[in-house]
Amino acid sequence: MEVALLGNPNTGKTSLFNELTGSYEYVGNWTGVTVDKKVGTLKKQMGQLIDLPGVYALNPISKDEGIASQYLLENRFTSALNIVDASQLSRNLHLTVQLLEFGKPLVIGLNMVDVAKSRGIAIDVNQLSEELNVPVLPIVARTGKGCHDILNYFSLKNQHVSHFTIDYGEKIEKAIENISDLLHEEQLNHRWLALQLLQGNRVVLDHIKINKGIDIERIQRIIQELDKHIEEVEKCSLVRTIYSKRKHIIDDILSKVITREKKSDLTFTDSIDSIVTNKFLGIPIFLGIMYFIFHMTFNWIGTPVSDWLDGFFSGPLSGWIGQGLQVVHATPFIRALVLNGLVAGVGGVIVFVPQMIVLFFFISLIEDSGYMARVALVMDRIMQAAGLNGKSFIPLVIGFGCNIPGIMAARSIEQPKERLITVLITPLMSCSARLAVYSLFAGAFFAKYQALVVLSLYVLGILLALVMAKIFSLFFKHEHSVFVVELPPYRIPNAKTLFRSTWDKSKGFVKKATTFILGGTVVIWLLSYAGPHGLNVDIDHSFLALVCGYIAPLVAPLGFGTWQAATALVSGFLAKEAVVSTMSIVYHAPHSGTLTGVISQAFTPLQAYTFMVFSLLYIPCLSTVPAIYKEVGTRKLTWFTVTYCVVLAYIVSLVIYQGGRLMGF
Amino acid sequence: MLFSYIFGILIFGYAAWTISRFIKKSKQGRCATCALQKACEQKPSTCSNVVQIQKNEPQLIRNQHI
Amino acid sequence: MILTELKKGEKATILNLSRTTKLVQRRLLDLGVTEGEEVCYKCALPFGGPCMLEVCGQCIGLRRNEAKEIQVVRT
Repeated sequence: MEVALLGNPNTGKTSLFNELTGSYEYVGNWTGVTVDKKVGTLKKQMGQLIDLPGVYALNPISKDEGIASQYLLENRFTSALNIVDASQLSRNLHLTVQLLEFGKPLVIGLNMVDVAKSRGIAIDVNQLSEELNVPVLPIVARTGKGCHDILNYFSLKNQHVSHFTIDYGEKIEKAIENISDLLHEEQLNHRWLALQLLQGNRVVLDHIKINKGIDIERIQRIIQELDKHIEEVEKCSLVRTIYSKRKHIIDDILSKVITREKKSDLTFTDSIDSIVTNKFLGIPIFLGIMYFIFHMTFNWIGTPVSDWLDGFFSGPLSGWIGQGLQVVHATPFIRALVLNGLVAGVGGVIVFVPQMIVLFFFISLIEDSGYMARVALVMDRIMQAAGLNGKSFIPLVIGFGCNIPGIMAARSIEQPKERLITVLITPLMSCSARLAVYSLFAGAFFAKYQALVVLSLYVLGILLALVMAKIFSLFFKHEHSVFVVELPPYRIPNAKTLFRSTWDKSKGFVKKATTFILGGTVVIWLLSYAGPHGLNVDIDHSFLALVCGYIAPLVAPLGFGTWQAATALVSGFLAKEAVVSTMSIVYHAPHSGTLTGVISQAFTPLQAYTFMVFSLLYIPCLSTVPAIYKEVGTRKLTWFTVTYCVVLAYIVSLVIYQGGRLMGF
Repeated sequence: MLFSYIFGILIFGYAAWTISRFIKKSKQGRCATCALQKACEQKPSTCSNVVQIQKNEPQLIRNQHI
Repeated sequence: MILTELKKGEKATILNLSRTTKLVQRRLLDLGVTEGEEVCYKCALPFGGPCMLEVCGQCIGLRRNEAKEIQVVRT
């Protein structure tokens, strides 16, 4: 059994998906959280559940919506589960009607019945089910209420195929009939296909074109004739007419189903919005929130815990492991591998877990609250100046967690040009992996102003991204920029969701550190341990020092022309955390204390800041490159993205370092 | 001595395995090491869909008549 | 009159949407915003930034230049 999960954006499809499959997928409170098809196994092994991006209608505008429509056309799923937002019934039912026309077994999950209730909207579920001729199950996906009923429903074998047809009027019905006749070779519901074609659905048209036996030209002639006729008679386009017919039926159903107790009540959301989208305070509040997050991450919670961890790793833990190795008579080679390689390298990354947890907690908080869409609104004017729109800012904010989902989030942007530019600039966003680099350097050099220094790097990333966006947009044909964004009501973030989201992201960080960062660490350590003159050489005569010594002069004008820094940057291409683990190894000397101490001897504050800027910009990590390729579609553009990042990083770092020196830092 | 050999082989074996797996996954375009890994989980088949839609896109936008 | 002439918090009925960009029209239609719906002009951001509207029980953000193409009548 394969069940497709469909519904309007931000109606809780993924929340329900998580409940029904017992998995954890990314949820949030804005339009376009899910931009891809996700497959999960229904509890009790009943079959598969497919989570799809939210759509308002089956005729897509943006790329994520296209994925949902394409799924309907190409996959033979058993039944569809339509999530309907009870507080926005009228709008949601437009999609439901189209899904009913599709003719597959359908069941409606009426979500957010609690929100609807608080707004004074009471819905007669039985009546709704009767009117639409499909089962309707009320649920609250966020808390899991009623989700069990859905599982029970799917465990029943006899699934109900609804027969729901709207009479679109004589002329349109005639056209539907004529088109249906031409579609006899198609397997999908002919009436649905015909209706989608009448609405100008390109994805459907392209699907039909594959089938050679269908007379496309005749179909298009029928559509054109009808369009002209409707235009003359109704003084309204064909698409509008179909929409109105549906709306009429929906309004009729709603009048029988809904009883309103009082006027809609949005006061909570209104009062928050009057502050965060305030004329003058909007942007300062966004920066203030960011600063607050960094202050919590570094000065208040993260760093104190992290310092303690660091002390524990380099002190007692190393001691215990050393003693343990002595007991089993390990060779010096193994001792060095474990203590100078694994403990120093992987430990050097793991100590930053506290900062990550705090940061991820706040990112999850923003994602779940509803603030994200407001940020898009507040930033729209600035983004417009850079040739983008406010929606492009959402991928950038997501990029703060990890660039890859940020790049994918660009799919929800309507205009192809703006979407492409957003993908190109997202690698400049400071992801959490880079935060490990900042934690190390800011802790060593700018202990008091850590939060401010880190904020400056984030803002620098955004500013450069905007400048680059402006430059890129000059090379594109001018397209009318569009910005329409739905601002969902604020929600008190769900404790369970927050916990799951923070846990999941932090777990990812630890997993990365203990798998392939560990692998890389072992390689780097071996290269630093071996040299042309055999094993256990002085680190300055190791293979690592020799090879990276050639790269060092290239970055010397930026202030860090040592082979150690060069090595860190090279391995940083694999993953930005590797910068830290590599530094832990190459600067590791017995009894030299913590890494922070060694680093503060090896760099000046200006060099340290320049190094942070360079690490921020210099290259998208190895995992990000394929993600970019997948979104931009060409190798050329992918290479271009990587190259421009390197060039930009070099220029900006050069300006900062040489400028700083001139100013006497 | 025997312990050292076994331990060394284990560590290097694990390291080689993690690196090879990482490179393999990166080539597939999957976010093998991303902190938000699960957020981008997908079947390889989706990728082709995305590219296909992209090709059609200019028309998709141009041809909408309201 | 046009939408942006409304004062903050004022309500009006939409008369004509056809002068806005096609893509915006489609998105608005997706959100259920059509002629005859009641709209509340909530606020606008500085330097010609977007404005915030309440229509059909939901809040939406829209560029000011698009909002200027929407004709309304005060209710």
